[in-house]
Amino acid sequence: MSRLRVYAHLLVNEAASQVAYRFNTVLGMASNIVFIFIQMAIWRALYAGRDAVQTGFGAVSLREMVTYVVLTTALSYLVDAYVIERIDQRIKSGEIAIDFIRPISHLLYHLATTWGESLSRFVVRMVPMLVVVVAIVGVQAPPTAAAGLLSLALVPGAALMLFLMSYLLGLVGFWHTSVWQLGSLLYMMVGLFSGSFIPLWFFPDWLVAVSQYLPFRLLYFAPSAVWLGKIAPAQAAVLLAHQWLWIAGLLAAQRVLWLAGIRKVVVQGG
Amino acid sequence: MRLLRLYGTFVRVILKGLLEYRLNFYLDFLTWVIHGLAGYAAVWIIMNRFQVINGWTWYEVMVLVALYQISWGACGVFIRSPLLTVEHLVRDGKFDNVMTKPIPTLVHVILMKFNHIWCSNVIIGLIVLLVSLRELGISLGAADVIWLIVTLACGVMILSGLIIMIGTLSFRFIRAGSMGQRIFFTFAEFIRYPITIYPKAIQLLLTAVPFAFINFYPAHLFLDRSGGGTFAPALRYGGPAVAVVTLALGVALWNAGIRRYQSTGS
Repeated sequence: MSRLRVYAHLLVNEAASQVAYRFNTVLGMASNIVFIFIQMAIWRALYAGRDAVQTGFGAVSLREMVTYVVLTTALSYLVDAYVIERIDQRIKSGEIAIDFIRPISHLLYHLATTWGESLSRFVVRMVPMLVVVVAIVGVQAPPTAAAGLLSLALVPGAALMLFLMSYLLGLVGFWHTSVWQLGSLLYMMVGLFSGSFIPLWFFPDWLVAVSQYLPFRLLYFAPSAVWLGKIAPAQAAVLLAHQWLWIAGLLAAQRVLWLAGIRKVVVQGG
Repeated sequence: MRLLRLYGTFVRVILKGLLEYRLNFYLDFLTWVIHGLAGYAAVWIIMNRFQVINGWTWYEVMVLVALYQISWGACGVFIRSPLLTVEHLVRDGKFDNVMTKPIPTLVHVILMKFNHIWCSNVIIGLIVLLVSLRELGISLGAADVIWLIVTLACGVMILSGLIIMIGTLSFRFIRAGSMGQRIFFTFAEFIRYPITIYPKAIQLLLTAVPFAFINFYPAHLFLDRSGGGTFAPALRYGGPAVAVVTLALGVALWNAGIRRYQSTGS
């Protein structure tokens, strides 16, 4: 129980320290809102006056696409984890040795600080952004309460999955001298296959097939499509199970890498 | 000439450092290719599905993206990373070192870093550009080729000028450089598509800030469009003038910033 308090402290501390960068907060929010309007203009031009476009997920209206843009932007505040560089930095600098003797879990320490950042983004950026955007363009409510609840239920898993992927690649730093390329590969894969910009219903069939085997669609596409009712509740429950299976697999993988890594690590200098 | 030789030496040292780690080198190469292709993936998926955006066909949009990616890539190799380091140099008080060297500060900052990763954007961009033009059935005459080279050079100059202006902010505001470049990224996303899809106010903004002179206006020289959508047909020839002004403004602001620079000390 007292362990949990430590992590809660870490989380709140990190959240508080993020709020200090006020200039960044305001500019970051402004550029997010601009980006929402860029995306809306692109979809409007692509729809070219049509009300809806037929897709493999049923007809998708322009109004639904506007909601999709807002939902994925909101998700981007929560499903965001760049621990790769942070962990790599600690391995390179030798600070990781201090982590070895700390009485808390390395994984949970980074999870707490990452989610602390997310918490501050949620409060000072995402909520104001939603208020502004919803007031200007409006967002569609989910068709049923079940769809809304399942959509929200997919969010924690999405955040945890991206964190674990990022963490796992960070641990590769035990063997590999520079992991930033892995970071930017992950970033690009997520950008393309997660549906954070283009929903899967506009993908060519073969690319949809490919993305079924990748975990990325569970990050942005799944919660947003379930919210819009494009994925039925029964199917959404299956996606939720998929998420937690991936999480179990990623947890096992990071354990293996961690145990092998701490045996291998050589701390230079001091 | 002396500066070019110096740059050659810097680049050689960086490349030797890269070859030291074999696995890194291959991973770099993989990242390199994917980096170069990533800029087109989203547009490719969307245009594959919709075919037309505001009267612009798939390959016409690809020409826009390629013109932008090539200029952006060339800036990535030479200009962007070094100017991102300015804020660190200023914060750590190391910028004083730069100021005491016998070469102009801006030149020295640019010489310090060379980011080979972005070469892929230039090479892959040129391939996409040529393939797209061929698919559109456009054959380039000698004059077109010269205009194409001028256009790309102007794109690099416009982006460089803007990036230098953002770098100059680092003298006054801590962390302004990285934040500025991030906003820059967001804004640059506008020009992946013909700017006519945006409201008039934004079109004017993109003409004034001059992002639209990187690809949208000069594209009218090659794409044989009837001038529809631009404010004035003459704007398609505006690239060189706009580029010179933007770059000159960037350098002037940098120099003004240097004169007023006060070290953070340490």
